[in-house]
Amino acid sequence: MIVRMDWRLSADQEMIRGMVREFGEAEIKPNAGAWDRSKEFPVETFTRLGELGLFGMLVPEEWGGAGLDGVAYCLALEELGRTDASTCVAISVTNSVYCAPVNKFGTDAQKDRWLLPCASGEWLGAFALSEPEAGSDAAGLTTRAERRGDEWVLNGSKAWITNGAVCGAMLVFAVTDPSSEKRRISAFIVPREHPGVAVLHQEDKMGLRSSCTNQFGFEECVLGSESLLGEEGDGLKIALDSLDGGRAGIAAQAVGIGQGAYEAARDYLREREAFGGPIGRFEGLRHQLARMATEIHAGRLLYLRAATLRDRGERNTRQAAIAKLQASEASNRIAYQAVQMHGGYGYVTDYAVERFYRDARVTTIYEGTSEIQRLIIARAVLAAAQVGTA
Amino acid sequence: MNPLLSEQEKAARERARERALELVAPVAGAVDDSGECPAAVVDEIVSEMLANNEVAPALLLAMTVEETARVSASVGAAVGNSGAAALLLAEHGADAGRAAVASGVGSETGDDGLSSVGEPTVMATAAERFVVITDDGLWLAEPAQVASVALDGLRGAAIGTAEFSRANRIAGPAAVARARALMQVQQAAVAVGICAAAQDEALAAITAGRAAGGRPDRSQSVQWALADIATEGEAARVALWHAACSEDSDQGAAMALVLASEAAVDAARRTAQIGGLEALGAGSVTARLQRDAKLTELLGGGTETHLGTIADALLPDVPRA
Repeated sequence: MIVRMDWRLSADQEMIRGMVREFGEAEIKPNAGAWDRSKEFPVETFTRLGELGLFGMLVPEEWGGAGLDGVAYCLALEELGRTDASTCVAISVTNSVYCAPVNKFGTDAQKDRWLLPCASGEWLGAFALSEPEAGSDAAGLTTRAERRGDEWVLNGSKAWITNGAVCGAMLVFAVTDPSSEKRRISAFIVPREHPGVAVLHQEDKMGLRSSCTNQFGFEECVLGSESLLGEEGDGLKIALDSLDGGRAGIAAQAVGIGQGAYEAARDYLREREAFGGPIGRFEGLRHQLARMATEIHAGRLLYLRAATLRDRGERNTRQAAIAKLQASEASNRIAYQAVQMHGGYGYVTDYAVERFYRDARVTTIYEGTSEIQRLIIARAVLAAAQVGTA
Repeated sequence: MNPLLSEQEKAARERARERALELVAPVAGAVDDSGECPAAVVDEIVSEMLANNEVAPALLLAMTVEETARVSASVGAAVGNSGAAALLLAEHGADAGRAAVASGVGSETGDDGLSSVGEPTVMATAAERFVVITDDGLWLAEPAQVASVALDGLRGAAIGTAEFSRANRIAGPAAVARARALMQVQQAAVAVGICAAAQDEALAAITAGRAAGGRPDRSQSVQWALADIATEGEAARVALWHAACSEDSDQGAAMALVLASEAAVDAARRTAQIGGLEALGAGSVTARLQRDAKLTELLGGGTETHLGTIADALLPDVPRA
């Protein structure tokens, strides 16, 4: 049988994209600016998003999820990013670095208690890996989990936790064997409301302002043995697998932010008149718009390919890193140019492009900075050529 | 959705790679030095490509050109143009034979009134006849006079201009968008091949321990440059394959060409930086890549023309000033 490359979306993928686009246009886009200005987490909207099945898109239906493939998931994230990156990141974190690892590494009992309610839309999830002194260097964590009898006792602090203050539970990564190099860290499922768990700080961010980003403290936080996800010492593996899986989604989010900024710029070029007609008739601006669309196109194709590889169970580390690097860097260029095209109006909150500009900035930073992506890509290329690296 | 190469497509790509190494690699340096197009090699690669019925023609052309250009951009460009001509002739029921595709600029378009094309064309001095694309359709044209154009890049791609003694229309205006997209696809494939060649050269410099900036395990600058070469090359490649699989997408092909040609120039520059002065010795592959890459931004109308095409599709209701 002859099989050919085919970039057309399936009917299900088209349907998911259409549904999220429709919801985003009606419920999110008209409010995103106000949420951003007030730094308000839109609880009611998230209730609706949960009802639509967007909290557990990758989770099988038996555990309350939508059972979608990674391509459909990324398409949904792009659509959310296109209207509001703050909403998008809360959904992304819940799906890719909470639900996905609990689904992959959890026992049935853990899934019943900690996956089903989240995937079915009752509450959001969070991922607590970074610490005030350890971000990209995940091996440098200091938060400790000590075994005392059948229980674990957690002490330390975690930073940059998206959804922290509004989640139902979070994955917390802590050192369980300081003497080990490779099996030093373990992963724990920790309820948000639990003795010894406290919100220390809410970040006041440049962008994604209506999403919650918190620092948490854990002080003599006692967890049952059933809180351990996977085996003791599996933490780094679970963290890296989660980030690997989420990378294509962050690329999709970045493409969405770029698309939103591009559409705003395109509409402005049509509407804004100067020197006797719409400014979109000028070659310089037309060419810039063409470059913006071209970079978005490339980012979209890259994340679709990375997501497809993951859906097929194939390793996609290099392809996902390439997608994330290209899409996040491009979304910053696109948002910058969109502001530039708007002139002074791009610098005020009346127009959405200034929000896209601020929101794009973090996409080159979180879930692996651009610098880390470059190292991942270079190491993969060099490994293929059998050249050693640090 | 199936955005990955199928087994048949992978096999075709590997076969193209093998043939490029077998037929083109031994003559690549000499082709660049002499400026002579190895037309018989081009014919052989194109013939083999046409015999493959398992892979979509435009994608097969893209992969064949990329792998050929990875060894020699000159030969890759010649295969691309000649291969596109062969596909267009086959699609429109015209006889096969060594032909080149040219874009008609300012041509007259009576039934047999096509007189000349205004821009340099790959394979012009090696072709027996031409497929000429104008706004009115596709023409099969016999050359009356062909003049070689000496450029300091793609030296062995038989670049020239032509005037025609007579021409017959083989397809109407409906065929024009597809033909132009096919040309942009094969041009983009040359650029993606240059990206791959630049990555090969960078890896060779690193493997040999002569990367400027030190050993790769001690130099993040080398690793980051390599990552940027790989990232831009991959972005161009997926856009190329997407355009090749979406044959009616003029906009997608133009996007692929913009991405690929600019990635090729960047990749060649970064590879030269990684390799240092040693990589830029007379006759070096890295030096050739830099010369060849620049032409991919210029031939076929140039980047500005393609950006204009894309912008026209994005702003159909706003005419250019």
